[in-house]
Formats: sequence, structure tokens, C-alpha cells
Amino acid sequence: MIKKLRPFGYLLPSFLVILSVTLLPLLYAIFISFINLTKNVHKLDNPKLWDYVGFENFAKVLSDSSFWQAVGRTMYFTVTSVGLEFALGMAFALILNEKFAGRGFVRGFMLIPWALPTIVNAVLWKWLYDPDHGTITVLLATLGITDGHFNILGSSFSAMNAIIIADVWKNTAFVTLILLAAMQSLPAEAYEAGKIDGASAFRRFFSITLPLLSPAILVALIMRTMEAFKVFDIIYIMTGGGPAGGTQVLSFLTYQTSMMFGKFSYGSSLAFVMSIFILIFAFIYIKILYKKAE
Amino acid sequence: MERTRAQKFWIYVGVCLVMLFTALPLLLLVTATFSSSGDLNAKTLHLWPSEWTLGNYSRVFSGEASDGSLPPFLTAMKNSVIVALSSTLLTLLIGMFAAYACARFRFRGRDTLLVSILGFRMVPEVVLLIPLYVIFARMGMINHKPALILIYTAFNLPYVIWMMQTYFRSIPRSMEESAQIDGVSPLGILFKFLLPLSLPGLVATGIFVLLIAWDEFMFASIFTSTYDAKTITVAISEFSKRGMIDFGMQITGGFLASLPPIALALFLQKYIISGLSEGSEKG
Amino acid sequence: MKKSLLGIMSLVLIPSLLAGCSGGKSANPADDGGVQTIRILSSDDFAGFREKAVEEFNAKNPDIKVVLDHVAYDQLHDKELASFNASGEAAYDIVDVDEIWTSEYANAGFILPVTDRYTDEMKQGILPASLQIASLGEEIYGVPMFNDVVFFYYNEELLKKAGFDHPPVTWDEFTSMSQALQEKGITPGSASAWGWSANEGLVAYFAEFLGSFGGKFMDETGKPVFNDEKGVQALTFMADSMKNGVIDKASINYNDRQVLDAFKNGKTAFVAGWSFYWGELNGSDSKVKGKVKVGMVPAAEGAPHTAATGSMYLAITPQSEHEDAAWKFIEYLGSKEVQKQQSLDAGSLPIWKDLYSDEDLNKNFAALKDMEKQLEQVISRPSLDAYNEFSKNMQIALQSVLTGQKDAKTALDELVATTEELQANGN
Repeated sequence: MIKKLRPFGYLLPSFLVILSVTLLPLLYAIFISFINLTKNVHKLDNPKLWDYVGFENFAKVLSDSSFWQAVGRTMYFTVTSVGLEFALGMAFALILNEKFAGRGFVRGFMLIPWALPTIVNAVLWKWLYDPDHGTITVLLATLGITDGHFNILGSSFSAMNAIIIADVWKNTAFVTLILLAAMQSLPAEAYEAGKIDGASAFRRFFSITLPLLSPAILVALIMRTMEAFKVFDIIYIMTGGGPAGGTQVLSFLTYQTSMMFGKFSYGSSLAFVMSIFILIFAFIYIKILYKKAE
Repeated sequence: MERTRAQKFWIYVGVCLVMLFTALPLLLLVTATFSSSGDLNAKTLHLWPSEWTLGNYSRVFSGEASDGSLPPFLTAMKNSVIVALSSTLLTLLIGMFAAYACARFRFRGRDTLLVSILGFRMVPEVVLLIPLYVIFARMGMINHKPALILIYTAFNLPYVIWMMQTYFRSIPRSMEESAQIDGVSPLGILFKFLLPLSLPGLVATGIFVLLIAWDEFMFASIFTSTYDAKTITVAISEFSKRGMIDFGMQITGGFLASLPPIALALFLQKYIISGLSEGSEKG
Repeated sequence: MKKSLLGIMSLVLIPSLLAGCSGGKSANPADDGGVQTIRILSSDDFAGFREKAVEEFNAKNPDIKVVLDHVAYDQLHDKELASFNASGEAAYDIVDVDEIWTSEYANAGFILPVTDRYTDEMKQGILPASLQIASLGEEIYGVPMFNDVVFFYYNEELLKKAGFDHPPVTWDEFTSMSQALQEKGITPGSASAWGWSANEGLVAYFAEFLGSFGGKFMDETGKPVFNDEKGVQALTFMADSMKNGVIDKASINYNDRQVLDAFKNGKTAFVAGWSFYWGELNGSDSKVKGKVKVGMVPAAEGAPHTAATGSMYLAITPQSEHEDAAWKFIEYLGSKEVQKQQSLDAGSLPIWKDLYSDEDLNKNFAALKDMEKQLEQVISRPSLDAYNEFSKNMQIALQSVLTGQKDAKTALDELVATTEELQANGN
């Protein structure tokens, strides 16, 4: 009997922490999304004051145009940044997997952007894009690419892409790190066989290297997709959701609804609908992951 | 595998591109910390400071703390070190047991459990902001470091459990089985066999989690208002006053705050990549 | 279904409610030996001065211990909103309130009225413009800590070069002077730049134009009327001035810091900005030191020369157990002596009327008399429970006109509609 219970004993501390700091607050949030709660949670202490509205908040979320716009922006951010990070990360990993002088140094150096705190990265790029004296703004004007100083963070389209560039710069290194570690553990024969066959470099990459790397690719993609979909800090610092709401992604919309406008219930409902999107992503990835593992 | 001359040439071109991609923004970051506000506010191209100054650094370290001991920036650094380190150690400690249970014991619903653990990491943190604030406020833990430590621990546990159980599983069972026959307890097996063998994995996981804890901003910003509790990310965001952003100070503070995680990441790189590559080269 | 759901949810809530019992109002561990602890959450305005003042106050009042936490202004509102939902140590006795949050906080019961605590001396001695920012309806909710509006600064030297011996009185004159300054090459580009990027400052600038064209945000019944003829004229003037180059076209991208830099370097002849500009413009690194004066905000024919207010005040929360001690501290910071000291040390504008004729202050602050005149004609941004949401909507609407996507009438009509919706929703 004790033997059977042993694994649960080992799981208990983790379970308690997740229960108290994630699960209970989560249920709490679900609860307030079913009542109407704005600004003041003291109302919760008295059940008589609970203003039960059922799924009204969720219905409101689904018919809220600013929600769907935020979904669109979040998707754009996620797909573009993770896509670029993956493409660049794969290229970098392939290069760094070769033998060249100073390899150890380059591998380490390449990791530095990833180690920069997001806040610092945001401050750095916000300055590079500054409409008056940002290096990138001035450079673009000096090279004649823009007519005078163009305010990169001043229009929705350029602001969103500028944030993506900043995010890609930081997080490519993470993808590189995971892929490189996986490449190091690939058997050398995988490459040798291809060479004897006379397969071209490209075909060898797609038919041999890529399938062998697929578990690592999935890990990198899952982790980056989750984080990208929840992006908040970099937007908070760089644009605050502006200009004119042009970079208002889901996390920011939720934060703004709850913490700035004080609409706790509506904010929670927003977050739940957002979680469903993330779960769909996760489900697709995990399905693929399990298939590959078998 | 030998490369031809032409291939080598293209490899070096690629290496140069990787270096440029990484180095250019970093170079601008580092030179900015040594630039005067005149250079930082120039409307012409400045890739190099016209005069080198330590003014930004002295402003970052200036200011009095509430208790007069350390300047606010250093206090924030200290807070971040305490919060990030404690939460990392706590996460590793309790996550390790859970990972052990998942990797070495069979029980009903194990796979479901693993997937749902990872599922918790997918919850957008912003949804927990208000509930956690209310709960911690009622327990009198706002503006106290244990609140952030506990929150980061809970957020990072899924990663730790998932990563550690992968490392444990990659260790062959044969040695443990003979030990088991000799009557070594399950805890003994964890500490005598599994942990020493997966030490690189433990360190890598720890550094990974530490970086995430060091990086966190949203919760730190809402949960801390006093000098004694504000973490480094909050301190950096506060270098901007209303309508006035002291970029020199912000970027210099940011640069200093990045040094510990950079050092750790370089260490991580040595651990993961060189460790793995040694193994594969020998094999 | 409904009942069982509620049942499950309340089960879930039990742990947090239990926690609530242990950490309620009574458990304030900081109270020992009869010393009352007063905790303040404040913005970082004049942080250095306030810390000194707290020390002095604590030394003078051994039975009270004031603890000051200050945070960045950008995060202040969100942190306060969270703290209003806290209890025990995480709650504050005193919070720093921006005038635009008054309605939101007061109507939710997050701050207490202090009208009865006001002495006659305070009621009569403090500038009406200052009292107004802390008032809602009949009640006053706190004591302003400084006085601030968006002043109209001009570069006297550049104006003289162009042959003008006075600042523009009307907006038409502002236009003709700006054109003359630019045509004569006295300013390298447009004669003024404004901080019209999407932030709270844009709403304040719009308020300035709205008032000086004779318009207002709300009528007496609280109905939004800023889409009337006056409002449309004001916004059209803003957009047209930018389109024809009277005002720098890049204004749409500037914040109030960047327009200050241009003026400080003598590139522009006019700038509208807060009182702290004065100190910056007369600092050692300023190229226009001693050449700058404060004029009245120009106005349309027959309209008042209104400037937009933007001050903050300290208010007591119902979470406080020591309201009297809290008030004592607020009264101290707002007292004539401390206000005078704050002006001397930190360059703030005092809230007391007679301090504007104080000799020491005038020696220290040459524009004080001119600024006092402006303080008599002010306009405040509207007091709404959902102010932050209103402001976000307004910034988007204003920018859509400034960038030429919409005409002023359409944008303001739409904005009035969404504002009425916000008001109807009660939050």
C-alpha cells in the first residue's frame, strides 16, 4: 500500500504549489467571469452581492470587435515572429554546427540577446526606433530610404513589425540553442550516408537532418509559440498598445481591461477565451509530438 | 566530415552574418551606456560616442534608499537575486521529486498528468493577476519577496518537471535495479544515482528557470511598491518619469541588470552544447 | 445548474475567504507602542522633496510614522486600483490621485471626502483652480500637492526678431505670427511643435484648444457636448494647422518631452507645456535661458484663454484606520510653509494664492506672476468613472482627425456616442 502511494508523496509538494498558486486562482478567475465585478473585489465577501450573469461576459467577448482585432494582431505577431525565429534559428544552428575557428566564442556570444531581460530589450529597441534620435530612424533617413525621420512606432503596421524585429533579435538565440544541442547529438552517419549517395546539400537537409531534428523542432516551436501568444512586456514598454491601438495584442487588452479600466470580470472572460486559443495550439502540437514519439 | 575550400568560405560568411546580427544592437547598447545625453539626443547618426562618459553609471548608482543602506538600483538587484535564486532552488527541489515520480513509477493517469502539468504553463499569466493579488493581499504578502518567489515557482514548475523527467528517463535503469535488489530506498536511488548522473541537466534546467524568474515584469510591477521589494525589471521601468525618459539611465541600468543573466547563459552554453558535443564526437 | 455552479465556486473560494479572516483590518502589525503608521502610495513627482518632508513630519510627530512608497506615474493607477482591493499591510492610508481619476475613485468609494476637514483658511486661501481638481460635485476629496496647467511659453527674442512685441492673443494671430516666423527664416521650420502622439498629453492639449475656442467637455447635466460647433472648430484648427505647416507636421509623433527639446534649442518660438518646462528652459544646458516668457494661451474671438489642468492630490482611503493622522500629514504637506519650500526646492507651483506674491518665490521663479494669471483661466479634462477608457477612445479619435482619416465632426460625433455609452454602462 505504502509502495503504491509513494509516487503521490513525491508529487504532493508540486501539486500543492500548483494548486494554490495556479489552480485555485484560476477557478477564482473563472468564478468572477460569471458574475459582474468591476473595480472592487470586496463585493465577493458577501454572496448576496454576487451579480450572476452566466455566460454574458463570454458572449460579449465574442461579439467585441476589439477582441477580434486583438486576436488578429496576436496571431500575426505569433506566426511572424515564431516563423522568423525558427528560420533564422535553423540557419544559425546549421552554421554553428560546422567546424570553424573561434566556434566556442561565437556560440556563446550568439546567446547574449536571449539573456537580456525582455524589459531591457524593449528599452533598447524603443530607443533605436526613437522618431528623433533613434539610430535606426536616423540611419533610414540618412540612407534616403525614408523621407526624413519616419516614426517607426508611430503607425500600426510599422510599429507591429518593429516590435517583431526586436522580439526576433532576442529569441532567435533560444531556438538556435535548442536546435544546435539536438544537432550535436545526431549520429555522424546520418550525414555520411547522404554524402555517399551524392544527395545535394538541400535534399540531404530535408530528407535526413530535418526528420531527425523534429522532436527538438517541436520543443522549440511549442515553447516559443506559447510565449509569443502571451506577449506582454515588450508591448507594454515599447508602445503601450499604441499607436491608436495598433499593437494591442490579447495579453495587453486583458491587462488594460482589468488593471486600467477595472473591469475584472470582463478581463477574466477575455483571458479565458484567450486560454482556449492557446490550448488549441497546444493540442495540435502535442498531437504531432506524440505521433513522432511513437 | 571535410569541407571543400568553397564550402569553408561560405561557412565563414555565415558566421560573420551571425556575428553581425548579434553584435550590432549589442554594440549600440554598450556604447550608449558610455554616451553623454548630448550624443544620445543628437539627430544625426552617432554610432560611436563623441566623448566617453561614466555619467549614466553614476546616475544609476545615485539616490538614497529608504533605509539609507544601498542605492535603489542595487537594492533592486539584491531583491532580484534573492527572488530569482530562491524560486529557482525551490522549483528544482520540489520539481525534482515530481519528475522522479513521473519518470520511474507507474501509476494510473501518469501521462494525462504530465500533459496537464504542461497545460498549466499555457495559461496566460495575466488571468491570475487579480486573483493572486487578492489572495496574497489577504495573507499580508504584498511587497514581500515570498509572494513573488512562490508565484515564479508555480509558473516554472511545469518546465522543471517536464525537463527533469526527460533527463531521468534517458538514464538506463540497469544500475538502479541492482541497487534496488541490494535494498537501497527509492530516495536513495534518486540521490545516489539519478541526480549525479543528470547533474548537467539539473544545472541547465536551473539556469533556464533562473533566467525566466529574473526576466519577469508584470507580476513584479503590480506586487511591489516598496524599495525593499521592487525587483530589477521594475526598477528599470521606473527610470522613466512622467513625460521624461532618461534613456541613458534606463539603458545603463538595463545593461547592468543583464550582466548576471548573460554570465549564466554563457555558462549554460558551455554546459549544454560542449557537453553534448563531446559526447557525440567521442561516439 | 446555476445553483450547483455557484456551490462549486464558493467551495473554491473558501480558502481565500479564510485567508481573508486572518488578514483583515485588525491585523496591522506595524502598530506598536501607540505609534500610528500611515502608508502612502505616491507618484514619483517631487519624490526627493517628499521624502525629506516625511522625515521632518515624523520627527515633529513622534506618535505618527509616515511610510512613503513611490512608484512611476505610469504604473500608479494600476497599482492603486489593485491596492484598493487589498487589506492589511498591502492597503494604503493615503493615495496620490491624478485629477482625472477623481470620479472613478470617488464613486467606487475608494477615497473619502474631506470637505468637513477643510478649514475656512484653506477654502479661501487655496486657488479655486486647485480646489477644482480635487472636487467632485459638492465634495472635496483631498489636498492638491502642486498646481499645474499646460502653459503657453514663447521665445521673446525670436518674436522680436520678427517684429512682434507681444505674444499672440488670438489663434488667428498665432497662425499669422507662425507663418511670419517661418517665412523670415527665424525658425528653421514650423514655429511650434506640439506633443500630439497618442498619450494622455494629447487629451490635455485638446482640452486647451476646446476651452480656448469657447467649448467644453460636458454641459451642466454631465452630457458630453464637445462635438458642438466650438469643439469641431477647435479640432479642425488643430488638424488644419498641422496640415498647412503652421504647426510642425511631426507633432503627431511627438510627446511633451520632444517638443520641449526643440524649443530649448531655439528651433521653435512657441511651446505649450507643464510648469516643469520653466526649470528646464532656464537650466544651464538651455540655449534659450532668460529669453523665455509665459503668455496666456491664445483664444478664439470672445473665448477664454484657457489652459488645461493637470495636478495631483493626496486623498485618504476608507482602508485607513488612522484617518485623523493621515489628514494631519496631508494638511502638513499642503500647508503654506511646506508648499513654499517645495516651490523653492523643486520648482513646483504652490496651491496657495498669496504665495504667488511671495518675495522669495518671485525671486526664485520669474514667471510666477504670469503663471498666476493663467491659473485663473483653466479647463479640466472631464471627470468620468471610466476615464481611462474614455481617454483611450479620445486619443484614437483625435489622431484619426489629425492624420486626415476622418473629419472633425464625424470623429467627435462618434466619440460622443461611445462616451454616452460608457456613461450609461455606469463604469
